[in-house]
Amino acid sequence: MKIKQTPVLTSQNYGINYVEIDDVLMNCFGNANYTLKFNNDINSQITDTGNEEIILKNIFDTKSHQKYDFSKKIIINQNLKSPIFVDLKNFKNLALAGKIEFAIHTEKSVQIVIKLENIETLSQIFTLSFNLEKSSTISAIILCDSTNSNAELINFQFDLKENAKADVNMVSFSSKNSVQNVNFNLLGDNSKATFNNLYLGFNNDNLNMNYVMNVSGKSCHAQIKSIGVLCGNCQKNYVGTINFEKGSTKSVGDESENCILLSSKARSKSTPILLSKEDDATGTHSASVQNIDVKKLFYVATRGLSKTDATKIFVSAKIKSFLNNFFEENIKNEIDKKIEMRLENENI
Amino acid sequence: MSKKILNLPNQNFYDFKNADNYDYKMRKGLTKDIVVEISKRKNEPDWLLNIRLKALETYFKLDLPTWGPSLQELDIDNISTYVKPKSGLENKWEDLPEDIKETFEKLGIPKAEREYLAGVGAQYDSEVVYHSIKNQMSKLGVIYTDFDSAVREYPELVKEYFSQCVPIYEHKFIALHYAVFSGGSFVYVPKGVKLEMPLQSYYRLNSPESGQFEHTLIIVDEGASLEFIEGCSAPKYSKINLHAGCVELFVKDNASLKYSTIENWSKNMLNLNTKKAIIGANSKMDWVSGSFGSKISMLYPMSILAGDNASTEYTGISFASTGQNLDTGFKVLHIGKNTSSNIISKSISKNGGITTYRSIVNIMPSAENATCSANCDGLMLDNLSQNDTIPVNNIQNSSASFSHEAKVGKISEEAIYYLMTRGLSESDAIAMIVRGFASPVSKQFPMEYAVEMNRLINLELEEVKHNEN
Repeated sequence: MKIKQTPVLTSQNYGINYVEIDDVLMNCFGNANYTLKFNNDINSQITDTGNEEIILKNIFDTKSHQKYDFSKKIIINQNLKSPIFVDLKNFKNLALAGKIEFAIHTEKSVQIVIKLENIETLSQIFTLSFNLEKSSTISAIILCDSTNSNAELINFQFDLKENAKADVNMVSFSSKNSVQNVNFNLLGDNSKATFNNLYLGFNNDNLNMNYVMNVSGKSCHAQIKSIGVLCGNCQKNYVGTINFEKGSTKSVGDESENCILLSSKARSKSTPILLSKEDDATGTHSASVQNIDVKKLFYVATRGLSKTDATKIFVSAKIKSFLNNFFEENIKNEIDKKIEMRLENENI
Repeated sequence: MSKKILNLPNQNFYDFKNADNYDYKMRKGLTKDIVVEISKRKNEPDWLLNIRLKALETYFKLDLPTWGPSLQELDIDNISTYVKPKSGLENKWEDLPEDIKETFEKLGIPKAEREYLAGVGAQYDSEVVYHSIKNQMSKLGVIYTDFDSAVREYPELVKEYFSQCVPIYEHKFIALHYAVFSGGSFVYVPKGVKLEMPLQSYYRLNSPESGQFEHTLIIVDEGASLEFIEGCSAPKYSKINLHAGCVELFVKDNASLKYSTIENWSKNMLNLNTKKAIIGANSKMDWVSGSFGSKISMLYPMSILAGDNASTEYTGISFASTGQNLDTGFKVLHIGKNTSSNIISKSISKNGGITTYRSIVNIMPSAENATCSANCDGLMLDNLSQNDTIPVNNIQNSSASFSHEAKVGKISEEAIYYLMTRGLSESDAIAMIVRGFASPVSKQFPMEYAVEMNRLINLELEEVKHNEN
């Protein structure tokens, strides 16, 4: 499968942010070296829908005749006492393509922790979709770590019916070519989606993020909040869209992105888009790019720390306040340690 | 409170037509012969004809933009690119033909000239018909003349700057502009000269199925300052008219320029204008823009902050009603150190109008300590309209500081109710709130133009009360 461009999903196909990545030739042989574990007693709810064809037309404007290496469907038809853990490790493969669909039934709640570790692989495509029925709830923590991998194409989709709620927290470590497409469709009235995202870019990596919230129901609440830290020669291209369709009366949408550049060579491109066909909906967005306030650094430096250590303290503080949202202590600590280790190695 | 749909009768003060009398009207279409003929009629030097021909070639090579409003209904084969009115270039209003003189009288131009302008240029269809500058300005060495005269009288100056700010290959409609441009103004403000009164150019397109392609070239030399006002309008026809003008501004070191525009083209006009400024060290460039007319508008003034400590400010408003798609915004390129930009944009849409705010902020690696702040707000007056915000921000220097915020929504019902409890009718309350929303822009205009802008807003807000049960 060759992937040329990822179009931005907008209501009028503005085409202002085509993402071009090098051809990534995918050969999904069906026996890639990976492990996929579900750390919960839900095996009876997992259906293997293998042999499914990869169709990413709506996202990457291309159709493939390749098959997924794994394709699973998980039905949540009861309230689970503990979180579901999905742990995918992809080791030194040419390519891996995987898909998991979650169907959460009416009035059911679930907490999910997903770890996608893509280590020294050529490429990975991962599609995750959530179908939330009426009044269902999901809290999710997603970790995407594609360090030292060539290309990563992540596609997440959340469809929310009436009164459904999705609270998603995601942490991403960049790969050489990282393309993320996260799409929330607030279809039902009173549905609510919150997407908190922390991205970290290193080396000569290329981060492309396209986050969209389509609001069609009445009195919905859509929020995208992104924090980013860029080091090295990392280039980031961020597009966040809140799209109010006609009829989404009394809905509210808010989007913010705050990016810290820790290197003189890091590059930040950011396009927060607000589209509205509904007058009785309110949308706000904000974006900022900055370095750490010089006065604050100076203050800490006068206490005996070097500029580098002072910078790391401020960055860590910002990240820790983000991680406080996480419901699962172990994953929170794991991510915290990963970040600390990665920043430790950076020349700031 | 009953829900109101704001519905306007289409009264437009500017929608008066003169008979399509002309000295010469070019046949429709775009060919090399047409371009050569335009150049020949103007007795242009070879270097200018060469630019035109190169631009024509470029036009046919470039594609239409893949973004923004659809331009499918533009058929260049149905547009006459040059219309010479039955008038020469005069410097007294009395010497103009009666219909042209009356046109500009109705538009208030002679009155404005008498009361508060340092000089005026008035263009009718494809040619400048009136140009004057107050004596004391000329004595200071200020040059303000029509473009054709500038080519004849100041060829070296024109040649040095022409097409250096906006290159012919920038996009398809700039290439078209350079192929068939006619009319426009040339301004040169010498070193250290600070004009107390503004200059104004007014553009009126009367002829149906035609285009206006004026070229404005302004050079503000070191330490000088200038305020320039541009106005434009046209009567409405059933077929498409086209405006693809170009404004090139050079603000040298330690200088300042304020460029204000109230655009009220008719609602059959495709307005594909290009404006750009190159700003030197320690200099300031202010843009003030009010877009009320046109069927489709694609207008993105741009500032290039080339020198250290250069700054720019953009304050703009667009108001789209039935059948209008106004895609406007601003572009800024930070190159020098310590440069700063401030963007304030307001857009209002009603009765099915579409407004899009589209911008690019580009902070280059060389722009140490650059700062940029952008604020864009959208107001939708009914549920038929659409408002989109698409700001692209490219930050390539870690010492830069950038922030952008935007909001879109409708007028708060509480605010309307509050004003009504103070004795205002609902329509007056809405009008007051909308004028308040637009006030950051109107404050930037000279008073007479702020009044004009408010008048245009009021015209758009005249409503037929409509009760929904």
